[in-house]
Amino acid sequence: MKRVLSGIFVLTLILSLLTGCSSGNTENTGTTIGTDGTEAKTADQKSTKVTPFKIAVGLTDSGATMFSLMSNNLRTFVELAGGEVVFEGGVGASADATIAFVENQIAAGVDGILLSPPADSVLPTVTTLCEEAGVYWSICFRDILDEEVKALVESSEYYVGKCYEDEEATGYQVMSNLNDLNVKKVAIISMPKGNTTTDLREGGAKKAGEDFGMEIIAESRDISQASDATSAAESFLSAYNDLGAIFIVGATGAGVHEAVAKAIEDAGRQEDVKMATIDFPDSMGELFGKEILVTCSGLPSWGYDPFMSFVLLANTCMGQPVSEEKVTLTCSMFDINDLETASKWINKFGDASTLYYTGAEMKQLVKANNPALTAEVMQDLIEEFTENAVN
Amino acid sequence: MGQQKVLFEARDLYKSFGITKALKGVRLELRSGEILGLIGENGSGKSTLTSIIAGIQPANSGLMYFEGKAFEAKSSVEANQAGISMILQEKSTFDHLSVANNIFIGIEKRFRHAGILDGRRMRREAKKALGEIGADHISPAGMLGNLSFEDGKLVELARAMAMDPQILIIDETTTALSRSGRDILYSIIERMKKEGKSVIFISHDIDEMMEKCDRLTILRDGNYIDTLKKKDYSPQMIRKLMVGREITDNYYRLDMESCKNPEVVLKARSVSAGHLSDVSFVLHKGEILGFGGLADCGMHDIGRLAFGLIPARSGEILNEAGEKITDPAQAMDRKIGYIAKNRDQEALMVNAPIRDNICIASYKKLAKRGCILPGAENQFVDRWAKELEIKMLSGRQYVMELSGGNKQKVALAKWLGFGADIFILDCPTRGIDIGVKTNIYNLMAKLRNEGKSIILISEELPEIIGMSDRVIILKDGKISGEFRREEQLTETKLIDYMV
Amino acid sequence: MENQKERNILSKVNFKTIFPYLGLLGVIIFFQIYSGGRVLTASNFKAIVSECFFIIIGVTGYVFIMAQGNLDFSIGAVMGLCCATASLGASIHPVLAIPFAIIPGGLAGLINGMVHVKLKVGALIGTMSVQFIVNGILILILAAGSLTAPLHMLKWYTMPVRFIMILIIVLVGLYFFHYTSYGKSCRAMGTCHEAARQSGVKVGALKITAFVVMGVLTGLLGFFSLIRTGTSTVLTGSELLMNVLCAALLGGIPLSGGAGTKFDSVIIGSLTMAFLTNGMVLMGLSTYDKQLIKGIVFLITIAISFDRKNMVVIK
Repeated sequence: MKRVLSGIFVLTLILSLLTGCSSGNTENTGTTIGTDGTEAKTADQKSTKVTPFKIAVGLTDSGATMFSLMSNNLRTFVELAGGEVVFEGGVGASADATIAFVENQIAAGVDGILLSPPADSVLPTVTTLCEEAGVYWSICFRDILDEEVKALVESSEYYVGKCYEDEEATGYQVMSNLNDLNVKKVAIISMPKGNTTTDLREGGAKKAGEDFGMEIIAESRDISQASDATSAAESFLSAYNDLGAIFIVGATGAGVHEAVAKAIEDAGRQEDVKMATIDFPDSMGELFGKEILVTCSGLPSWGYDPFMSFVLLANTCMGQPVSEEKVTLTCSMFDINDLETASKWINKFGDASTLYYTGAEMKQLVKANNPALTAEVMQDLIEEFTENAVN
Repeated sequence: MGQQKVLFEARDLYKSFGITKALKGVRLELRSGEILGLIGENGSGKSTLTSIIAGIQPANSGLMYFEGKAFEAKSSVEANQAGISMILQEKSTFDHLSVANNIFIGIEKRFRHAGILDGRRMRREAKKALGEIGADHISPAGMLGNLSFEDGKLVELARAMAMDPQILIIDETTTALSRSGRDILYSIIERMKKEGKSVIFISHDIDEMMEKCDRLTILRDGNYIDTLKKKDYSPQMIRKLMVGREITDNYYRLDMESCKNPEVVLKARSVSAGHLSDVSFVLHKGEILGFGGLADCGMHDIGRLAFGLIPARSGEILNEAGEKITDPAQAMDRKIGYIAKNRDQEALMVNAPIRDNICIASYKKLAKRGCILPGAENQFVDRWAKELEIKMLSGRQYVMELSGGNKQKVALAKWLGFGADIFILDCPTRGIDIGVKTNIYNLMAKLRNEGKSIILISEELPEIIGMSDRVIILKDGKISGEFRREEQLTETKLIDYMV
Repeated sequence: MENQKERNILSKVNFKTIFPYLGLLGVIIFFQIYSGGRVLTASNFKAIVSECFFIIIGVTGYVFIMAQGNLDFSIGAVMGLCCATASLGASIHPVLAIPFAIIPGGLAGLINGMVHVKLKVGALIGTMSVQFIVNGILILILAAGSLTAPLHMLKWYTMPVRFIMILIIVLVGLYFFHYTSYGKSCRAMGTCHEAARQSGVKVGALKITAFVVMGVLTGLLGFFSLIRTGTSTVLTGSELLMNVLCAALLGGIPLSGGAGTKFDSVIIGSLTMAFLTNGMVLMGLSTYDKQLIKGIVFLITIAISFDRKNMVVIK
């Protein structure tokens, strides 16, 4: 009985593989692919018709306002441009998750992948995978530090470009702001060592510490939920009487900032222990109001970096790349140090339905509609956006 | 006595397990205040019948009536609540729970008040229940795992009686008990009879059944054969009805000669291990050496020691070449095989196919350059299953589906296939019906004639007397007597050395 | 009488045995329909093999431990450690990567075995303790953050290599499990430990062997993780235990091991896990939905295949 079943099973598998093979092979021709695998377009053919595309983004699309903001904007753009976007959270946390994400999405038939890699070392494999599958990809939130890896990545036809911010400078800036408030001893909450972003931020923070005579006296890593943050904060508070501030360099998960603030309040130390953070938390207004949070630095909107990187990628997938060369966009961080600025910012970006650009503007971000779109133009747009962030 | 009321009745019960038809239209009639014996060979359907009555499994078809009303228990708890309790031959208590917990398992509700279990009350009731059956020596708070097998059985009895049953089913329990344990059981039976309640009593000991039971129902091969009244009892008649053919009384060895071979195959030198202290003996080639004694005399440890299962605290046990035996693998290297008294949990893997059980000792033999092919295994199994006439569907059948006698045959097949020269058998015919018993005795005699040696450990004196070349009686861990076959041994003579 | 004949035929089809096969077939068909035919394509085949690689090798080692009625909770941590040690080895010379991965793995297995057999600590507690210790060692080694592999080594992680690796390990595992006295004795131990012992099975040696083999295979997986991702982090291997256990149960391996354990469960279970995860991605489910569904499937499988009569409290 079992043998009969196994036999049928094997037969079905073989038959399906054989029939599946023929439709699967067109995906490996290394050209722009349509979602049903039968349409193919070479890069030479410049047609005014925009091909539908599908891009996978390795970021969470919900949980905190900043995530929803990003996903709403991306979805709006994608609708106007005529494509599809899927999100997958929990990817950037580990190297294995990143690779699995790329492999799975390739198998799901995407045209492009946007990711924020946890470390440079996964990039060579990502490059190979995307090349073999003929899938375009771009990076957000990160620069590539390793020269060898950078060379390898940038020599790949399928790598489109990246968008990132100067993390080291940001780390430095926040510490400097804290120093202005006479804080000397700081405890940090950060990601595990090896995470490019937080490593850079910490580097900047350390430098500031040296320059200003401040000391990082304690650290806690890989906080992924509010309860972990509470424990960390409580430990800092009880171990160090002269603690001046808790600096949240980087943390995944929701409610971390609120938890730390509560721990400080519960210990009654809100007069002398302050909070600083990179990236603007949902509760920023409240925390500034309580005067626990004193300085933050972040992107004008967290989702803006991936948004721009996505635009680069989408254009290439549509067959009309923004530039013939690899593009690197840089976003500037900006400080919020008081309630007033915070409130203005919250008015604008505290609402997940805020759009970075109007529908018409977004359409102009599609090269097929706007042949004048270049990397320089995009970089200018970024400057403009940052300047107008709180007006 | 007059016309007694019919307390319980079963009619036309059918039960099959796959192709095996365990019950074919069996009927049973139990009257109030009666002790009904249920007797039959293994495979006759007795246990199946009682397990259906006790709610452990359902019949495929048939009717049952309890106190005149239609009866069907969907679980043993239901049966218990209806007034039917059963105790079994094998252990069915929980080692990790206390005695009190064991007694009231499943009915702890009684002691629960607002969600809290009243342990003290439970222990008090347990003490009472134990007292009722005359087992005061058992403490209700103790861990069941610390009790001897017999005391564990008594706890089961207390559990059964705590439900105040109308019908008590005793399924081959007496064979596992000592004299005092049996006496307790008998007094319970008598008391139930006096109170107008009934007992269904199953045992292989025909003498015991004839003595204790008012009537005897005989089953054979899943069929109801007959019911005899006490005045009609005769051992010949009963055996004949059980087996369907004439059986003589002589099924032990017929010769009266003890072994003459001087060659020693096993030697124990001042060994202390388990319950044994300072024991020395030898086993000759082609000899059957019997060990007997009371429950805790240490005879079971002789077997375990000789097979390397327990370490010797002092002294040693050696084979002919003077090599010590310290673990089972080593013992097997010296061609020793061992069948424990606890068939289901030590001698056999009941949750595995017959094939695995027979082959497990012989993988080295069956392997061709490390590879064991199914063909080789099946051939091996077929050969030895045939040799021992094991009643089974195929080598793939699981051992737990076999009757007790066939299970034992599987264990024997394992060691015969292995090619053991020395066999250590601990209670090999316990709970086995006459037919298979005879087979086993014949096999032992045959092995002996072929020059194999056997250590026979048994709680049945007739068996030891009937089969051994020499008999060693143990008492409190020491050897209290050694006898040769020629001395025309009797039970009474040996008992003197045991107590 | 007619009743009985019908019942006999039905009872021949042992539902519990068939269930894993039906499960796999069901998963494939379901996702094939819902993803618009993407499941059974050549490119997806690559993703399946990728998904399946770590799990199937893991379960091959694990099945011997489970057959004995034991469990090993340290495989995730050991894999992480071996990935790190492989990286250390590779930084000295690429050729050293594999031995530097396998030897610590085998050692960890040896420790598991010794703790269980010589110190008589239950396998569950023993392997969990080893897991914590190994995790600690890993964090110490990775104090710098993460370790990486030299770029050129990443080229070793090709499809043919993976495919052949799986084939070899699975075939060898199958052979040892069903055709040698080692595999049969492992199952005997799971069926009834004491009875196996009394039939001459060297229970202590076999337990240690099973743990060591598992350790070696886990070490190998650590190596492969290194050349797959190019990185060794504290999170490497964290999903391995869950995936392997799920795959084992989906394939129908009984928790208490024993005679009913069959090697094809390894294959069926791993494939089912791979198709399940892969299918969920094709359907566009988020990571959290995926975990929820995996959990539900896990629960249902246990409920159906749990052999209550045979369950021994995990020692």
